Amino acid sequence: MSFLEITNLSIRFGGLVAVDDFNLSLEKGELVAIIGPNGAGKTTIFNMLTGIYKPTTGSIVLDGENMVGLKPYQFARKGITRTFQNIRLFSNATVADNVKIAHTMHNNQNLAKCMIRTPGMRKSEVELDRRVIELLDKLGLADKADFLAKNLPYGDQRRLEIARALMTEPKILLLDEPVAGMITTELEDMARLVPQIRRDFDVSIILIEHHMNFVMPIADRIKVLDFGKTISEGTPEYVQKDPKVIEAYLGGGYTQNGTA
Amino acid sequence: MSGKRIIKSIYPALILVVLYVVITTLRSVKVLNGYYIQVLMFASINIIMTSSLNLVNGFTGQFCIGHAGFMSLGAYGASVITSMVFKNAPAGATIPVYLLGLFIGGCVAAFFGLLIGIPSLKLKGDYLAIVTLAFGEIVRALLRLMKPIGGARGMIGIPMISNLGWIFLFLGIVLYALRNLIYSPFGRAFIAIRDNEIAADAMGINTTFYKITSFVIAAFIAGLAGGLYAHVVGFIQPDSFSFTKSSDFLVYLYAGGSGSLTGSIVGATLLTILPEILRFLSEWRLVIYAIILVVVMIYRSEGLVGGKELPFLRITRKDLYGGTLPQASSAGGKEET
Amino acid sequence: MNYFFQYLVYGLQLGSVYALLALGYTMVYGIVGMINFAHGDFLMIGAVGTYFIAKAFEGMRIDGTYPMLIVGLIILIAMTMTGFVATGVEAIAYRPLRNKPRMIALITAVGVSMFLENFPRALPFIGPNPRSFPTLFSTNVLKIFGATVTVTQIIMIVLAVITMSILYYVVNHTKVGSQMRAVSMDKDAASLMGININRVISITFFIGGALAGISGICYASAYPQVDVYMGSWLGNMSFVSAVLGGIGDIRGAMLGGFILGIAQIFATALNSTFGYAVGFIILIIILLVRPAGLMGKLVIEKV
Repeated sequence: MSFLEITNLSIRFGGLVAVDDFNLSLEKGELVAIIGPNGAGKTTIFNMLTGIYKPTTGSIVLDGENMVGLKPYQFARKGITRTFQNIRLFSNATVADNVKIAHTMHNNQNLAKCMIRTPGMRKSEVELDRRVIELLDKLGLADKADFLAKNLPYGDQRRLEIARALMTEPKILLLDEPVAGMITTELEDMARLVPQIRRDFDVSIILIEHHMNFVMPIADRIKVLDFGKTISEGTPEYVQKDPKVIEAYLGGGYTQNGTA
Repeated sequence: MSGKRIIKSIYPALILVVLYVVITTLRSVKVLNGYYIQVLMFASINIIMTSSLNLVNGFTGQFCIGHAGFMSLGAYGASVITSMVFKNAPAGATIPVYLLGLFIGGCVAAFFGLLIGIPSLKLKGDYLAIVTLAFGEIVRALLRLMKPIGGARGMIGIPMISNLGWIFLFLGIVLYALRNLIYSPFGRAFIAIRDNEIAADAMGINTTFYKITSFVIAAFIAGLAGGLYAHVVGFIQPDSFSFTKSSDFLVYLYAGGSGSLTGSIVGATLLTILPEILRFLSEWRLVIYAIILVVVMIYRSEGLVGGKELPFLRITRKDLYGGTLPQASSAGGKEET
Repeated sequence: MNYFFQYLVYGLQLGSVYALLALGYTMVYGIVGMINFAHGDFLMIGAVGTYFIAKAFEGMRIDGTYPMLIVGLIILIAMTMTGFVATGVEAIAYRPLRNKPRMIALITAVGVSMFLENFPRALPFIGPNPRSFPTLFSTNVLKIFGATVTVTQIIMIVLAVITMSILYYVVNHTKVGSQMRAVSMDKDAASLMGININRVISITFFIGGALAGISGICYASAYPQVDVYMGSWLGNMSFVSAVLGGIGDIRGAMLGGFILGIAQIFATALNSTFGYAVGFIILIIILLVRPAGLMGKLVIEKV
């Protein structure tokens, strides 16, 4: 059995089948990309993998433990965290605080200690701050630690989302369109960053993306979705040449190196 | 270094002590009369009320509009202890009984805070707001129906033990505890819920737990303020804690600036004193007050203080390291000098 | 059984006051997304205003009662007046805050309410003392199912139902109504479609204010005493009605108003304090079962 085993995952909204029979086995340290046109059900899969939606049928098993029915915060505690396609930072908190917030579930200072601000509590705050700065440093945000999140440029906001997700100490990181809306140089930075994160933080990654140039070099495997159904899967090379993909997803006249 | 740090950590307390000494001196040389002192006591109690409301509305992003309900529970809880249960306590026990009363009052309010926190599992925004309003009004109706504690006519003869010293002491403790709380994992969780509840949830924060925690703490503090208030005026009745009273605290909070303890201090102080200053206008007083309020909200919507915080009411990253940040590239290593 | 019908009539009468007032709350909420805590004071202005308007027409009374035509005129003047007061309040105090956080508008509404209550109170010819409201309608008494029903009560209930039907028609079947619905769904899109947002919002406040004016007359005819503070608790009760029915929904406001009015009368028969609290208790129970009220729909945030 794989590290993360998703079997027959389906969800229905009224009469609409948004995701139909989705299967995925993810190994430790693997990077899998899910691609597909808008409305194919990609984000819906993430919403099920983080407990925001409860699947109509199917199972999600992480490390031998069934996850279906857990609440979103419990998914994070079991080791699955995500970033959001439409950035959802804590906009009136500082960059450092955004990351510290993601550490709340590991907090062992109780209410009384926090109100009195005991020496032990102070020490743990200093330790936390050092760890946060270290993490921000890896993502190139350390010098902006005291900025308000809402004042960051767009690309930095995306990276802060990743930093925040990493602070929860995830086993599996879900990245929802990490380069959406980015300019080319930012995109190249991100293409270096994602594999580096996988190495340094020892996480498996599932990635949703439209941008083919970004996905192809970094993904181990790709799954292609259309109208909620998986229409192709395999190595980037295989998927790129699959006629079904070219026809159904990429459409006529699509060149191999273009963008969707 | 460490001496400076000690001074830094106690100077806010020193401000209150100095303020207290100045006020009592002015009182003894008859510059300030009892009326001024009472206004100052009310202002301080209102600061306590407003900053506790700030915890729920300003920092946790919830929407409580029935805060006077918690205050009344605390006022009644404390008064029952001091003027009924321990009515015949010996003279030496007055202060311990008073403190016990304040504590019990806070606990009664906190218990109801827990009760009201439970619907917040299901309700959001305005619907939660109306439930807190309903809660405040139901508490008032229940108190009116309870004959043993005076019913609609209220309780009289409550010992007037609260003086400026006690009130300043509790004001200091409350502000200190709230500041510490806000700059702790708890406070950060509250702010996360305020700024983006879905993201907070996705980052492993049990939002229900933290929302209820916020409500319970705020209710406890409001109950404490109610106990202090009852022992200033010596007389309480259910109708003193109506929705009008709750809306006073809302006004102090947002006119001062929500999400900042400084804002609560400025808002509650200025708007408690303003109607007293306007007394010479007699019946036009509240008209002018209302106009000032509306003008402030239109031209300074972020509140008078606008989210800023006095240095001793916030804890920056610098403060964590005693004033100097370690260099970013050598985080975990030596401090910059 | 006699008592039952008697209370039911009282309940319907109070319910029609709440329903008319709740409509204003709900329409403003639906369109601007703000809780207008000053709305109850529009009722007060309607009632106090009518007192003075009726006084001005005193000379036209025949045998001590006002002819129907004059009564109609008085009601129309009062409605127009409260309508303009509401529109004015929106233009001066709420419009500058339209894109600000909603709590800010709410606090401003508290300030406006304070102003609307204390300004007439400070005026020497109005002042704080209660006045007895003039008799506008016939005081004849009918016996229906053993209950004593005054003609005033019947007129009031019928008037409320007619007003609400007209409103329902206007909102659902006229051009202004469809503009209102468009603005309530999406202001920006409505604006791009060429709808004058300010005008639609002004009209909404005018209608809300006019309805509050009628409800003031209804209330004062039933409990003929008016003072400057009468609006605040009636406002709260009708706000509860609006939420009970599902705030933003017109049918919900009417339903909530009648449920609350009837429940309150029956509960008051047991104990007056309980009568006051019963509305809030019903509210909490209903919200625990249906978190968005009877008619409201839960809005789910898209992730």
